[in-house]
Amino acid sequence: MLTFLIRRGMTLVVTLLVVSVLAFLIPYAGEGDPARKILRARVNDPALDPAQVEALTKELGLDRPLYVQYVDWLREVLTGGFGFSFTSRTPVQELVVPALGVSVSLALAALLLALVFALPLGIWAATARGGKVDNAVTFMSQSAVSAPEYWVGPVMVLIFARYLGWLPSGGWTGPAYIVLPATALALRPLGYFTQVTRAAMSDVLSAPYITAARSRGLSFPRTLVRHGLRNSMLPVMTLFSFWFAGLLGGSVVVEVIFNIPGMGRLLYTSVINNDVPVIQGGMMLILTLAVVINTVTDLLYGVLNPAIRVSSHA
Amino acid sequence: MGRVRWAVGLTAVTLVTAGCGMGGGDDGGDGGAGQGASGGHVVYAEQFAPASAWAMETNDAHSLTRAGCLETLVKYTAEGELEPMLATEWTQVEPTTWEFTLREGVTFQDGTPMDAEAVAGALSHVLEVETPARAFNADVIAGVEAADEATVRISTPKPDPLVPLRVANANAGILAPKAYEGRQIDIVGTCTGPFTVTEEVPQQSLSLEANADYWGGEVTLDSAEVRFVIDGATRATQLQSGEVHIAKSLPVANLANLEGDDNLEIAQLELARTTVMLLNNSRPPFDDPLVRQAIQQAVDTQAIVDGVYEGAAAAAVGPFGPDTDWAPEGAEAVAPDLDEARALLDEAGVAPEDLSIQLLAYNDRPEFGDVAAVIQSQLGELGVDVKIKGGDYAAMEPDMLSGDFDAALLSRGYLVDVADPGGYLLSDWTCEGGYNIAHYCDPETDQQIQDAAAIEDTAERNAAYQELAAKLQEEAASVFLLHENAVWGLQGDVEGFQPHPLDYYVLTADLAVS
Repeated sequence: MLTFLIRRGMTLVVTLLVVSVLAFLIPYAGEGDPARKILRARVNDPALDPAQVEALTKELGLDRPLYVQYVDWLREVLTGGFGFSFTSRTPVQELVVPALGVSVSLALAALLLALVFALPLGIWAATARGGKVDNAVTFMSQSAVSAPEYWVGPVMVLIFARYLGWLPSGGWTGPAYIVLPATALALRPLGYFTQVTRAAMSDVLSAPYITAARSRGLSFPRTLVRHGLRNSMLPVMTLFSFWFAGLLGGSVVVEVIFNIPGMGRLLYTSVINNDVPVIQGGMMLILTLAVVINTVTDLLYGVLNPAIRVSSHA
Repeated sequence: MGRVRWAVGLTAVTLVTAGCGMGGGDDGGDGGAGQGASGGHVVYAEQFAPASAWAMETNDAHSLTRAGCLETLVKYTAEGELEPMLATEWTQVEPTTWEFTLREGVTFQDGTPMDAEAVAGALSHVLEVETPARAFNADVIAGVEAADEATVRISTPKPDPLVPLRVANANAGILAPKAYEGRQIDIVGTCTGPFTVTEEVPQQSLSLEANADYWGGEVTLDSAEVRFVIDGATRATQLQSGEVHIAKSLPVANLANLEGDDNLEIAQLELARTTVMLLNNSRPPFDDPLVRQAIQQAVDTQAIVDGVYEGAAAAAVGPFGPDTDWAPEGAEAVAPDLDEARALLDEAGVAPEDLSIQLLAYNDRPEFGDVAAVIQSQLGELGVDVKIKGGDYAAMEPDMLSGDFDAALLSRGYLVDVADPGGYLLSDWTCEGGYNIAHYCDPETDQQIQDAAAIEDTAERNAAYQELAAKLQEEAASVFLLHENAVWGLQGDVEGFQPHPLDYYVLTADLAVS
């Protein structure tokens, strides 16, 4: 187990270094002069004073070679800072940490919602394979998978905010504000979770140890919970962590439509304003979390399935 | 004295009351004009979230004037006049010195007095920042000092007739000394306006309450909220769902739907902004005025206004809006005439089929793709081949600035710093101008622009601008297409709202809900 942990730890460090290079370089992928973009964000006017552009380039150190900028930046990151936002001059962590908090709550709400519906639906379909229920569940999950958020979101706003007036159409100031965006975000993972649960459960149910358990006189529901659920949870958990990491910065569309001050919207506006330190800090945070979540999931596998843990000794 | 008229004509205001004249079926609180009941709460959906932590030299200051918090020494009225605000009078005591007499008895919302010391400190702060505002910076303002307790003296490096306009800009807003003490501007309780900020939820909203001690008299509303809603369609939805009372900059695409809603009113006002197809004057084919004029003759601007902007714009008569003081009187949009266009090309010795031009249309403006497509088809009728290239403005800018393009669409505000178009003419239409993307260069025009901007008398100066506008249009320096409208949406029960030509003052002392 110890070697396993050490190996995972080293992989983690190397991965994070690669991630830091990526996060640092991403803002430079776009075209255009960074200083001009920053100034435009401040004055909302395209005609800029060349002297001002030059002064800002110097002040922000944008004229230094990229690797020098990277080393400086990495040094700052290692000491726990991400520098200052170009446009607002506030420390980047003051912007990205609250935004990350918002995105984490939104992603968790969406994924738990998806899970709550997906597990029973998937199991139900698996126990009635080929039947009407199975067909209906498959059809619904496939529809959910192919429903894009930029369409589902506005339609839900139209129905629940505009016509029925039950829920607010956007913002982030109370529990009611989480319902529509979380539902919009939940649909696609719901579809995937349902399909994966169904498939995993089907495999498990046809396994010999289920038959054995049943023949020992265990009731079907108990067999399902004791032996079936636990073993079919592995793929669902993988998918859950995969989606969780993805939603932290990937719910841009939903955050913009529903006016949610999360990471997606922050990165979106930062890209528009070319607020390089915010993009870098935000990306670094999201990517690091993704890597960490991934590692934790791997470790949890071992808990759920000793076979994986054992094989790592080899 | 300091009463300057620049009038973006209020005739351009069209108040479309949806559902009016449908035969008085429901009487949902129409109530006619007049005094709304005192009290109430208004939610205003603002287009931009503060990007610069309320730095006074940035757009954030403009947001803060709309929120009814920040005020300036001098006020632009919606009619385009200069009126006393925190200063009651102003005089040019010497060619390079202006004196502003402060209004007596005004206190900041934290109770400290608004005296000359405080005002000089506030204005000096804006002069000292790293990237100062265009309207008010060290190049145009030499210094600000307190002459006595109630007089502020502003000196300029050279005689400047525009100083009252400069201090009317939101970037020259006045906050209490406390606001400037920290690393960032503190807007809580430091304004002088009708509304006091009580709380800011970052990237979400400002909570405001009425300022009981407002110098301008009683504030009708009890409280208000500014919500930062960056997506235009979301603003439209929140208006329709009743979550907000006033929404700024609604997308043209939502216009038809909003106008069909009986509970809403749509207010439109022509913006001091021109959409132009810039023609690169520095290289063939558009270095030849005849070719440029031919293109101008072939483009039907009204068709673009109707087809793409659904009427929420005015066809251009030149660089300035038709109802402004700078457009030649009686000027009309060019009537499209393909025969004339062919004749002009013939005279230039150019066959239409030989013309193949690339038109840059950046997609940061959602309408530009359609505008480019309409122009492509209109010029196609002339036989000219147009290829459209889309992309980010930021990605296209280097080519535009260096002159490596044929034609490009641009939306450009012509009153960006002060309510006088001199700055725009200098940067966009002089040989060495910092934003002369069309690369138009005529030494005679240069001289004319410089002379015009220096004229002290407003009427004379405006007359000179009119001549320049006529000249740029006549020479087809580029094809001026249209001036889009600001589209505001209001709940039917909102009273006392007036769209402002520079997008100032939304939450005011007079604003009410019935």
